[in-house]
Amino acid sequence: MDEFEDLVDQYYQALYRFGFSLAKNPDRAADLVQQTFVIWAQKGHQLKDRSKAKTWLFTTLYREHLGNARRSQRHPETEITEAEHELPHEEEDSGRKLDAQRAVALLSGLDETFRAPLTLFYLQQHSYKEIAEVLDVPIGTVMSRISRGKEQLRKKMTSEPVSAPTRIVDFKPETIRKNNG
Amino acid sequence: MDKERAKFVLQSFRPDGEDASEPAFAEALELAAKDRELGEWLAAERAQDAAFAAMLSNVEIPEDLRDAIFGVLEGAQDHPAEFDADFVGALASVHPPEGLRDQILGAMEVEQSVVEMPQRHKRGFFKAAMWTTSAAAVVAIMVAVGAFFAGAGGNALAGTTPKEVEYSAIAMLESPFFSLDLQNDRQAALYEWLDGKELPKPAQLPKGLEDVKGVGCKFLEIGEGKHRGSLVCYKKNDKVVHLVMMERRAIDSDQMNELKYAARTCRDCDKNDEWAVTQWADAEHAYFLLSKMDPDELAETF
Repeated sequence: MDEFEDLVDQYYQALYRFGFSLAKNPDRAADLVQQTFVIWAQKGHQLKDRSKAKTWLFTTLYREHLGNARRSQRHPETEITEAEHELPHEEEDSGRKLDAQRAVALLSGLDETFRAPLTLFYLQQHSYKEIAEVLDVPIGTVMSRISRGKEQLRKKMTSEPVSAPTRIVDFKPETIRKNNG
Repeated sequence: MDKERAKFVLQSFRPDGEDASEPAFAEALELAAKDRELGEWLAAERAQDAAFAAMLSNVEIPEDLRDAIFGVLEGAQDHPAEFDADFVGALASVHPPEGLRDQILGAMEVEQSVVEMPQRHKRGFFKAAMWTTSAAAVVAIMVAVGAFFAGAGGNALAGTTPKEVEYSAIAMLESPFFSLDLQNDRQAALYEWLDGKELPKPAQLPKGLEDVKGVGCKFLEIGEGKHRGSLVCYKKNDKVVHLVMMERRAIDSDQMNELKYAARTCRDCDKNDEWAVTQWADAEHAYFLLSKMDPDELAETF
């Protein structure tokens, strides 16, 4: 197995989950992962320390996401797929257990500042030092963001009981019109 | 380290225990081992973290993602070569402006006349002359390159005849440098943007495009007269349909008889390589509809 294939197999799933929580959309998450590996294929050879490949990949995905976010702020667009994710979905589990979708929904609902460090923390693939490297912020900032992010997450978990169907209400008139048919 | 500091540090401690050997965590863990309350807090914290991490790890990965990564990569590996070829081709066809040679020779004459000047001024003036010459050359080349790219993927369409417009529109759409000025899936937003820029927008759309989603739009300049035009792209049956619009006067008046149809009766679609194309006109504007689809499929739009 060559290095590239090995890297893909090792990290594409974690990268997808990270991308999903950032982009809040499965298609965009997949695009982010693909784009990350395309950039690796083009520029990865410049990385002298191969042990940094994991950090490099997550950093690249994060930067791509930030770039996309900046672009979409300049040219806001509403896609049907995006609105679909804002629609209520059925909760299969009637117990208190969180499902994967709820975990992503909760992470997605956090402030942008906390979302990336907390997702990386819960993916468990990075130490806080590596998270600092990926996000290009000081180590102390990462610790503080994880701590405050967890606090915000707990508040959200308490205020959005699992037994009730998870619904992210959007007050954009366009979405309301769409939802009302 | 006090208890509060230990709590703060341990919040970044991964639930799988991977960080146990880190000095910062080791000290906090030691404290938690001695302090019952802190120990209980840590156990609860790790349990919660582990539960959340497990849920996140259950996020379904699209089945085809792995294959898609390799598929995209194969495409991406081809692209640099294509891109390089396009770029080399583009640069090769850049011709210096006609006056450039005379400008350079003129600058040389200035330089020669400097020979007559006192020695102490010569170097500075020579430098200035060389700078002027170089700058003029660079600006001229930049203008030429800019003009080329504007033609290839920018907003300039050649054409005084419908056929010329059609060909240059296809060249623009197929250019690797093609981009839209605005992307938005709401037709109303696209027309609003065109209105704001006083660009042509469709007075009447073919029926099949009335309720489809938009993709984006672009400002165009047509022909040597730089007539204002616009491009609006729509999504129909998962394909993009491009509508090029321009003032009627952009087309030579003796060529206007080619644009004999009205928007709702234009049923004849031609094939131009991979493109299905058709055109019509109203009192003010000429319209060109292009899409990479079968001509019959495009004809269904009307």
